[in-house]
Amino acid sequence: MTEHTDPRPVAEAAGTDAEEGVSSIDLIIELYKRDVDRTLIIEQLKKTPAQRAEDLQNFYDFAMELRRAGAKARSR
Amino acid sequence: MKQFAGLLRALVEAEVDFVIIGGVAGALNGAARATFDLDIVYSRQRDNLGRLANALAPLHPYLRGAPPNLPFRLDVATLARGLNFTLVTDIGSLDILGEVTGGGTYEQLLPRSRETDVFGVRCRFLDIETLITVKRAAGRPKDFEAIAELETIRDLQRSHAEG
Repeated sequence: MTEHTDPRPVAEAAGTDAEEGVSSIDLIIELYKRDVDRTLIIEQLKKTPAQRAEDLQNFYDFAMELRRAGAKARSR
Repeated sequence: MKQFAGLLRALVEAEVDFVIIGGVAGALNGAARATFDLDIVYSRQRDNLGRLANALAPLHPYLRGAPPNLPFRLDVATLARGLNFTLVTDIGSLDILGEVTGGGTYEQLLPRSRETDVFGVRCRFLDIETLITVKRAAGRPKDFEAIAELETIRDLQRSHAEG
């Protein structure tokens, strides 16, 4: 994490001045951007909003099924 | 009944005026992040409060996290005297907001929303720029990763539009 201690490269990426007026929140968000998976986003952007909504619903259903299965296993 | 689909169909079929915000709006804008509740900003017009109460009544809305058996009823009087409610329903969690920090009311958000067909119904969701503004205004650390993702999407879309 030592690479994150110098705000200057991050401020530059955020288009702000590290010396004056830069928000610490901007810096944090710029740090998080380094870990954003752009390949996933590019795949999502190929879809329509309706398809994205279906994906979200399918994920929710999957997560709920896992939750139910976990609860059932714990109750045994 | 499925959560997001069921809640959105109930609201649209009752002709409730609302805009989707939060994680579902993020997903509709292209975010790959999962969410487990639906957040909406609803119009505070009196007629709309009635439509909202009627739409949700069959789903037995209750205050999320509240002790059981409180005499809570999501009716017009409750909606009129309150503003933002975090609810659980028979088919999932739903947050209904009369106003959102950084974005304002339904009427103020309307021109900053997009219309789309999802789950067979037509509804509106917040555009990516306003979603970023609202999440930044909320200032919640849990949103920082989501903001980073949304700003990346916005920047990718801009660079794609610029060729």
